[in-house]
Amino acid sequence: MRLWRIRLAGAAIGFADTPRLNRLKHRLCSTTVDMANRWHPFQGGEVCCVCGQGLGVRRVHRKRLNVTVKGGKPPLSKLLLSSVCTDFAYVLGGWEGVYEVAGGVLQCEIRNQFHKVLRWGKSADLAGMSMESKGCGMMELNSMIKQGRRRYYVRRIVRGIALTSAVSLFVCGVLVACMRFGADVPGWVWLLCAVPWAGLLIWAWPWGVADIEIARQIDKANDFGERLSSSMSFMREGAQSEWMKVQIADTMKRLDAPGTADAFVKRAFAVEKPARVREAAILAICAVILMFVPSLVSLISADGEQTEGGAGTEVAEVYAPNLDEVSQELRQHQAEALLDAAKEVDDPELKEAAEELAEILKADREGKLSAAEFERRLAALEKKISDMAQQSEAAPGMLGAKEQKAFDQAIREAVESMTQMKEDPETKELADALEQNNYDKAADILNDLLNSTDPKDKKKLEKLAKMFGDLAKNIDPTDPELKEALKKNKDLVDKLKKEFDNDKLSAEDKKAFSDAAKKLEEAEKAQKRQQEASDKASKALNKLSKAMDNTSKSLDQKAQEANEDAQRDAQAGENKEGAPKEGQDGAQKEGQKQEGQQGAQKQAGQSQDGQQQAGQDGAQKQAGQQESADGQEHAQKRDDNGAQEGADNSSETAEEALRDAAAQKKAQENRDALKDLADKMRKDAKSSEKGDKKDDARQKNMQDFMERAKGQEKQQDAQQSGQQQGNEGQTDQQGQQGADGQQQAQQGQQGGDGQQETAQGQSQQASSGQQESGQAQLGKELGAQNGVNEGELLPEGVQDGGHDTTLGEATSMKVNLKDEKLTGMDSGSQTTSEIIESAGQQGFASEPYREVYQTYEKAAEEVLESEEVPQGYRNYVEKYFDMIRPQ
Amino acid sequence: MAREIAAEVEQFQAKIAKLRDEIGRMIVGQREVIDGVILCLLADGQVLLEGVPGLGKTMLVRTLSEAIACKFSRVQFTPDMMPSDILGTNMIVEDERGNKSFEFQKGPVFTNILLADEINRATPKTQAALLEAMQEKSVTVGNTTYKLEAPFFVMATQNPLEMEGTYPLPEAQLDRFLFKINVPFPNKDELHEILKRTTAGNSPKVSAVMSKDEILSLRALAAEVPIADHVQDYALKLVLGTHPEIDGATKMVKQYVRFGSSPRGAQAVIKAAKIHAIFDGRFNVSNDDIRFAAIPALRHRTILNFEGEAENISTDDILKDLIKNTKETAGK
Repeated sequence: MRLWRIRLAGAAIGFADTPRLNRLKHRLCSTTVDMANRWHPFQGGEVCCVCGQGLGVRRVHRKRLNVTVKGGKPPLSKLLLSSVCTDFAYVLGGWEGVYEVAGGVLQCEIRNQFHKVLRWGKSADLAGMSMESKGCGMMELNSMIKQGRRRYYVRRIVRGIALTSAVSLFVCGVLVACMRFGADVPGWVWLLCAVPWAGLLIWAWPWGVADIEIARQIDKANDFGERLSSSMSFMREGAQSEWMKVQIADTMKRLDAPGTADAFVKRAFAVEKPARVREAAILAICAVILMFVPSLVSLISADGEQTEGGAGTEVAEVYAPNLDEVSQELRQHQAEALLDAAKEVDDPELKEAAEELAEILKADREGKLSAAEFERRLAALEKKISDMAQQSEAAPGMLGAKEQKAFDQAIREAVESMTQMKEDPETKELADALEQNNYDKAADILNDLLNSTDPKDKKKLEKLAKMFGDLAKNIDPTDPELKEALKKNKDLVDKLKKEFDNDKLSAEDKKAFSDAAKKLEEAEKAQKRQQEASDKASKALNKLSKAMDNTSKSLDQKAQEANEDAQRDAQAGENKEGAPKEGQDGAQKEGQKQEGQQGAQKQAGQSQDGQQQAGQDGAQKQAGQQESADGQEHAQKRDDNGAQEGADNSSETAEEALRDAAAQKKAQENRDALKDLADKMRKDAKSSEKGDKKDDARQKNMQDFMERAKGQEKQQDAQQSGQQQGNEGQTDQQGQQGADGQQQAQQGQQGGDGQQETAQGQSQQASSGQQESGQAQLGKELGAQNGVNEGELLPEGVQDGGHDTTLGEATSMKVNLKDEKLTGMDSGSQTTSEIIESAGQQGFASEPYREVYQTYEKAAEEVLESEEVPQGYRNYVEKYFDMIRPQ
Repeated sequence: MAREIAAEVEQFQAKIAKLRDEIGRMIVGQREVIDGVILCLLADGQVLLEGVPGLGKTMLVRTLSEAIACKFSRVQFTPDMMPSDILGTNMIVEDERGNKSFEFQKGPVFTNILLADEINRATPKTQAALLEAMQEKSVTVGNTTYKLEAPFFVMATQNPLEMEGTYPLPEAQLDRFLFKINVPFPNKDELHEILKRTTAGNSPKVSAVMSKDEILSLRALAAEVPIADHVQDYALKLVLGTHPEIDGATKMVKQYVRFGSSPRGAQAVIKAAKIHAIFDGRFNVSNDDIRFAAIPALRHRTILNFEGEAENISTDDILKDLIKNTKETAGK
């Protein structure tokens, strides 16, 4: 209570303005604060508006106060007062009016919706007083500054919102793109999208922006003449002079009009357009591109069905290529080369595989394949190629391709023989019996046929012998190819069975395996039966053949004896007269005729033997040069047939066999290359996945190497084209030689052994030439690969620095140097430059400088007089010499 | 007391307006020049007017002296003028008894308003005679110092064209002038009005509207105008910005300025800004006041180097560039 009285007393004398009273008021303020602190905690801050000294901490003190109302207003038993000094207080409730308080008067004014300002003092003192004149406006100003600070914060947020949004969107775009390209983006990474916003909120906060700065900005925006900021400054200083109080009051008066302060603040901190909109737009577009353009690209590149799908069309996902650009290009070239090779070989399966590889590359380039899909398709292709290779070696359940071909040929020839036999009425029964596999009957018929045949009919006998010999050969059960095929089949089945036993096969595979095993078993049985029947037939046929040979020989002997008898008869006739001479002549003529016939026959026989020998030799030679054993066997077989049929047939068959063998070898090589390529692609894809950091450097290196290799490729292309032309030229020559050889072979058909050899040799050269050209092509590709991988080539114009001695040897630096010390001589006077320099440093007062100046000035004046110097420059020169005039 | 200040400021504004109007009866246009001169008068400073002959410089000074009812002296400076011609001299005076003694005869400097016409024609010796009078408001002759009557206000003029046979004012003397005001050539309308007033038979007459005491009281009032720290800091930034060796100096200053303003220049800026604030009816100095005062207060205190002289760069251009490139001080 005592403190209250003191406080009110202080309030009563608060209007006086002496330093002593001010000090007293401040002490009262402190006292009041101390009292209030016990009651209410501090809430805000303030300085004493009267004494101007800060209380250390901004605070608002509340005090419960009993007042009585004067003038019929309802009594305010309890008012909450906030006070920091004795002059005024803020009330958080109550009514407007004047209240008597313990000998003083409280005047309450509504300042705004929430606060009321109370003054106390004697009623006479309050009359005509306004708050501004008391210099108390700190709360209003603080409120205004706080509002300005809030708006400042909002304005900065709005200013940065565009760029922040764009950055955030860009981060999102990057993350989405990463996900689309298959990267595993953890969930927490998405928080990065919120980082720009957090940054904006931190950046926009008015760190270090003082209240006076806020006030200054309000002043500036409202052309307020630094009134507000000066008021704030003066209040902080304590408003020690009357001028300052007047200034504060003036400021408050100008802000006193309703809405003025708000309008000022809004005008000063009006929300502006977001800054850096252009940059933000560019960033946002980039983000959208990152997020959506890959999808659009795939949508555009999708086939027409997807495009016509209308509303139901789904946007296809786009993946990053699994191979880098350089690897793709390289692999594409290789795939194309393989495709060409496959076409050349005319292997449909190989061609299909190569096309599929090219398709995988294309799909990968267009981003249609995910990493997993790419891997899966490559693995499937690789398996397919492996199966093809395996099939080419031994197809499960059937003969290999070449064995099948040979077998078909043998059957065809056997059928032809049978057809010939059927056409002949004498052998028709035999053919029927053979057809019915009734070999006993066939043997009996053969015996009958042998017995009934006229031993003199030599031609017929020979024809029969040949026919049966062919038949016996064709159905030879001891044929090694058939045996080999059966053996391979069996091995394969055994292998499969092992896997079956190990339970490594799926249900479908097991079923297929059991079916194949059954078929194989049946085939084996049938083969056995056939073999048994063939054995019998073979024996019979061999017997028949031997009989026919014997018959033929006996027939020859009989014919020879008949000739000798005829000669003898003719000689006997000569010994008689006339008639016998004619008879002798006739016999001689007949004998000569027969001798001629025999000679012709012998000659023909020799010719045939020679042709056969030539064919066999040539075929052996060819087969010896062939690397493929199968091809060799096939060629031998063909050559054997050809030898029997004649030299022409033999030559053609041998060429065909060689071509087949070369094509098969080439196909196998292509398959291997295709498999390797698929393997490399998979490795490339893996390395491109792994080496994220090294990718750039690697890609750069690869690109560099590619460029260099391309340069080499160009050179190589040129060389290859030259080589190709050369090869073609050789091939042409060889072709011509082949043609010549054929001609020679035709000539050799008339009896030339060596010519036949030449023909075959040349045809072989021709095919080997083809092989070489194929190898050269592969070599070219490998060369390109090596060039890419090793990069040994230098770009054009770069030579490895050899020691060029065109201009002679470099000058040798080994000379005998001699040091000589020279001593300078003092001239005793300064040079002109030294004089000028010392004048610039020490002043223009020296005598030497005066002389130099006069010399220079004289020269300048002469120039000015003698030459047409513009007046402006004359002034410059004159001014300059004035400035550097000696002193 | 608070209410008195507000009233005094209002009276101040009214009196200045009246004085301005009175001068305006004789001087056509030249509002900035008139304001500058009044401002220097109230700021207790001297002013240097520079302009070609015939622009009404002398007329302005004479009119001002008449309007404030002060003693006025005019000195036409010539090369043969001696200091004693301005300050005065001791003369032998004989009294009635025949005794001779020295008596100081005051020169024209003993006045309230001194017009030093074409001050640059006098020798440096004579120009220097004004130094003490302008700064100390006193004159020392022999061993005796004579106080000049307040208000003492020197208005000097110089002609920028005829430089032959002139003695340009040294920097020390230039620094004594609060403002250097360039008197511009009047425009056509103003010329019409000048011809009407001066070629007719009855030329207008000026009456005194302000006394010496009023001037002194206004001077005292203006000196009390408070200035916030951040505004004063802005003024200092500008003053320091004229120094090429300072880090924050503009490119033009570094290129063309040899010496910057002295601290007296900062004082001049603040003084002038305070009076300009009262002209505007404000109780505080604003940054606009500083900008207004900066150019006339610093233009003669900023010394160009040879390059600036050779390139014919004006200090006004440099100062405008400086003002443009100097940020206002943020409040702390």
